[in-house]
Amino acid sequence: MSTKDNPSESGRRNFFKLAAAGSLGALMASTPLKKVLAQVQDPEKPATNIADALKIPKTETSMPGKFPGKVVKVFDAQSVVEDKPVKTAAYQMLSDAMLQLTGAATLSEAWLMFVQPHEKIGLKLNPIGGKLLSSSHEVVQSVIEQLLEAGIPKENIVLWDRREFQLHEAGFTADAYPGIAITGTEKKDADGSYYNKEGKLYSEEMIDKDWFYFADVDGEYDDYTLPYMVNAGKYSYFTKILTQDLDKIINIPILKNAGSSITLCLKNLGYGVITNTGRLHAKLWGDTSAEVCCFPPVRDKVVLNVVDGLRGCYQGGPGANPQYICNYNTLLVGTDAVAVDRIGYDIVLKKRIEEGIQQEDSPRGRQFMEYAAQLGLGEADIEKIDLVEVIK
Amino acid sequence: MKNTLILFLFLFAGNCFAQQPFVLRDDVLPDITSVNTRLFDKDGLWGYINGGADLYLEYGFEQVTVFDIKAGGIDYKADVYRMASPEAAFGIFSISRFKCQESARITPDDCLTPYQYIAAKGNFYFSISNSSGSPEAQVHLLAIAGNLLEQIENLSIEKPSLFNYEMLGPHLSGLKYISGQLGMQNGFVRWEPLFQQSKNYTAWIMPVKQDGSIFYVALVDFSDSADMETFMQKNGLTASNGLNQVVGNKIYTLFIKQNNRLVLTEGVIPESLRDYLEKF
Repeated sequence: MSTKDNPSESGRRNFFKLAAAGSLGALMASTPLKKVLAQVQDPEKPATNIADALKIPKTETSMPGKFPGKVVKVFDAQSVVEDKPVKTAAYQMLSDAMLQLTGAATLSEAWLMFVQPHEKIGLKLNPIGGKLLSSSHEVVQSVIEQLLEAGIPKENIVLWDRREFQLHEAGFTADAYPGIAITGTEKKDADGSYYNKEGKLYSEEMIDKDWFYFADVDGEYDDYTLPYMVNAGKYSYFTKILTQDLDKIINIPILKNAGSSITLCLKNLGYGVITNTGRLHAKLWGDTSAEVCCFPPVRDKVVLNVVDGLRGCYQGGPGANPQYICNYNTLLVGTDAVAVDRIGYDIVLKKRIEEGIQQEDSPRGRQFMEYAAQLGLGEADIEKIDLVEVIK
Repeated sequence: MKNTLILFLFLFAGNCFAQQPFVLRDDVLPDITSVNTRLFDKDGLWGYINGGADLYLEYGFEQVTVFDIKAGGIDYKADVYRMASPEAAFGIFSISRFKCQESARITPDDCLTPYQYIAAKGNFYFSISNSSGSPEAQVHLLAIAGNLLEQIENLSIEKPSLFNYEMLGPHLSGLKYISGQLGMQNGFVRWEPLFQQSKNYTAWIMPVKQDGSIFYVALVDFSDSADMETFMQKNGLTASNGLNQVVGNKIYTLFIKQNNRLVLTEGVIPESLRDYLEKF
């Protein structure tokens, strides 16, 4: 992909120009931005460079995308049999969702609203839960098949996540996906080493230091942990996979809880595309999920979210704790990551209440979505979300 | 696999500090085809369980030994977490225990479900899982667990005597130990708002279902009186021993004890329990 073709280039230049300018100037005239910046300037929170990201003008592909506030929820009780997702059901659920979301006459037409054959398209998966609870092969294969049917060449499809080896562990291998590239920011070689012959982390080659998320929280790691974090300090760098290699992203998280909150679209992106995340969980968990998505490489490239809720969990997430894994038999699709998260939140909450994990909603669980909405990433108000439900 | 797998992983059992070689018998399961062992210490936990690490670190984590076992076409994983104290190990267990098919099968604090066996014994928290959920795999979970647990000295945790009261005793299987915000978020969301601004506390919390209603009893230790006062102030509670206090739509009762200790209840408690808590 040439520089000219790289949609992030203009954003990158603006980022530096505006970041250097320092003053918020005329931008403060905008009331929503005022509100946002008031939140950013919360003295209780460590400072971040979110204000710089917000200064970069949005593009026509920016989040919340083509269908703000719209979410399609497809439920099929037969989509999981004996705790195993059913491929034919997943394919059909995805088809239904795409047609409902877009209003297109054909499936190909629906997909081509978001991606084009000449573009490199990344499917951002979530393999953290290993074989037990990762983005399912049935849903991922369905997305790939429908992209191929829409005329996207196989060589333009990339499966990716932070950790390449976790993709492999979850079964996303070259053998299982012939002709599809599989990659990650954090890599090991065939001998299991994170370091090349020069003693440099392979992952260092994968990060783009022109794009960074600054937060005034120091990350310090020992030699063992560093390969998982790539760098220490107060900067988190974006992966080149996102900033340079890919044109469009289809985000495929899995329906999981994180305490009384959730880890879906925003979290899969926020923590999945940058380095040095260990430092962010304690003080900036929700903020990071929202703020990282405001940076153009994420904001302008993520065109679709497909939440794999065939199987998911309602407690013990984001790891895979088997006793809490359940069959939601659900697929959520939308361009608005915040709205999709908000619908997913209610599904997980309902299950948690049914199972006696909690008795009522805990508003703190929704805070990061509300913050993301304030940042202009999408709709968090349940009353304003256009939810289309398909029950098969 | 012909040879006994002797893994020279030196685990400190409980508080005895005796180094013990950790042994996984080769006949622990039939048809073992591979065993892979990994060790992660405090700094390495992030690499192993990513964001999940914070919860363990909050309780007080020292090291985890991970066995990845393949046997009979089924994947098993055994995680042995060495925590900083028996309370920390029990704490993780207490907030992880859920819908146990069987309890106290191998050790008093354990829980068996189709996919997982968890237990707390001494300073150790065990999580042993399988990918199948079949009855056969469940038997194998117990076999692995039995082999691992027998190597640890039996230092069972002493739970606060408050909960030995005859009305509370039958509910001990629901007792939770929480020592911070993440524990509260994961183990007792109900009280997350109550404790969200508190630091440096530990709480033993017991839900009690009785006669169709539910109430909660907790023993909370604060590190100093200022923390305790701040907790009460932030939640609109007063130091009125044994009296119902209505905050929002909830009823709380406080019993202030010595050494920055608080007995806290939520819900309508029986009078006999009120008397007991007052005298405790």
